Amino acid sequence: MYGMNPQEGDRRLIEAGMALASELSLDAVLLRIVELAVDLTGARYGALGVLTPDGRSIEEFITVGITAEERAALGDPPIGHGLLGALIREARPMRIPDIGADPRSVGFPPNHPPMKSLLGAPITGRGKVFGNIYLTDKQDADAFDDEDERVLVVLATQAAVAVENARLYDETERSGRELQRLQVLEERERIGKELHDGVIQSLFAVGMHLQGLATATDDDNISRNLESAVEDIDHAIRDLRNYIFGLRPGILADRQLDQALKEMATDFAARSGVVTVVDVDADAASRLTSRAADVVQIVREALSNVGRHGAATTCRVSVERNAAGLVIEVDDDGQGFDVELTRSGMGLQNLQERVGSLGGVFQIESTPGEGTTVRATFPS
Amino acid sequence: MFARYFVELPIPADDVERALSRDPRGWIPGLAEQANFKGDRLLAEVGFGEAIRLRRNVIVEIGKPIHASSKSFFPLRWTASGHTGLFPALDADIEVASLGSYRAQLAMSARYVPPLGAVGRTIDRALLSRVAEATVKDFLDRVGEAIVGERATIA
Repeated sequence: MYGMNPQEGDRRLIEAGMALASELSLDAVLLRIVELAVDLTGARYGALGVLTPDGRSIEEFITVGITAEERAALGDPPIGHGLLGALIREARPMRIPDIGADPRSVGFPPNHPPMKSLLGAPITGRGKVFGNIYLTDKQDADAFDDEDERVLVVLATQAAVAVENARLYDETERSGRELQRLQVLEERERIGKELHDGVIQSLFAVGMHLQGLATATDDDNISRNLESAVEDIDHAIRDLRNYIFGLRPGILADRQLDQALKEMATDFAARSGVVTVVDVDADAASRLTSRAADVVQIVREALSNVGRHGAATTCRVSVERNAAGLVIEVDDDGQGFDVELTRSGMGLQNLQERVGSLGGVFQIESTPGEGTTVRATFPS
Repeated sequence: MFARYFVELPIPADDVERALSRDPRGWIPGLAEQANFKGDRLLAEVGFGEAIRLRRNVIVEIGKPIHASSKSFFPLRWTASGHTGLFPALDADIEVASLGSYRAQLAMSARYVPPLGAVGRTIDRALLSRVAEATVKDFLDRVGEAIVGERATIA
């Protein structure tokens, strides 16, 4: 597209302005600016240096014309020495026919492709320089000319508007997300109030009543059954309270993750008769501290499945760190099942969704008659 | 297991809520001055009443209150700070409801884990229940006294 006459250049600039206007995210706009600048001027290489808030150095450097490998070989991105720094300080278009011959040049780092001619222009909006466009190596001539500079200055002006639009868009998006978050919190608060004032109070009353009956009866069997029902109600209330108050699961209070899991396993073994062992790697547990409540909930659901469906005699809960990440596993020797046929049942979907929502990977391995392994893997 | 107890206080519900919303050192009974006061974790003493108070230290955690239409709930959890012995871990709500312009009901609905694990489940449940009820009663009576006493001091 280079080597064009001014009319053609203007037409291309209008198209470029429209192309920029169609981009909404800031990252996409920045890359598009460099691509258009390279295209419009016939440069071999292009870059855009976003300046730090104080406008004195480069904090982000977007490039076109070199591969990711070539860029990686250059090491750290430039921060604004030499001619790049000169453009930052002077904040006006710069056209250099031979970079190496300019006294302000400080040379290139190792592995840098050779570059000769340079054309640069600042992107200025609201009286402040946002960044600079750098173009090098005019492909069909020894150096950039007046028309290239004119085109780049106009493009930089359009770019400033596009950057401002993208920033406003990002800000609007963030505000929208924040508003949505606040609405969710408000709704959660409302649901919490209703649950607490109604459901929990009713459950508590039923629990008290059943507890009284359990104490009053002389029949041990009935008493045990009533107490079991009281415990179930107690757990239901605890879960509701945890949801409402955003508390960690009760079992986590004043306990480390490994202790909490061991306590849960002991309780599960006592209730289900399944011999349960817990093997927690301390390093993995410490890395999961911020997600401890979720880990407890995942293991609780997995154990619940073992108790209800597994027909297992032994079960192992493990937390470890390996090449795949932080791995939580609940493994039993029960009856197993056909994973393909039972994928959505048995509470597996809940587990899958919970793990997925936390950025983890959920896996299940099971064969009829050979037990089941439920695994959640999180990035370490 | 469940326990519930309530008292009536001769002050408006709003005043009770305000008192419970202030520094817990003002209303948690027997809170030691040298207690480990970090955020909402406090060390307090609880027992069965004046006659046989155990002066057992517990760690108390207080959650953010919920203001529902008919009452307000102040979530609370305590766990024994050292050897648990006969003392249960307990989750509770302290509830405040208005009984007109000048009176309030202060209630505590508590759920507790029987002490001594599996052994605790096999010993006299009625006794355990009475211990928990006595503990809750003693605690709430003293919370009520502290709130009313503090208001009288301010007045």
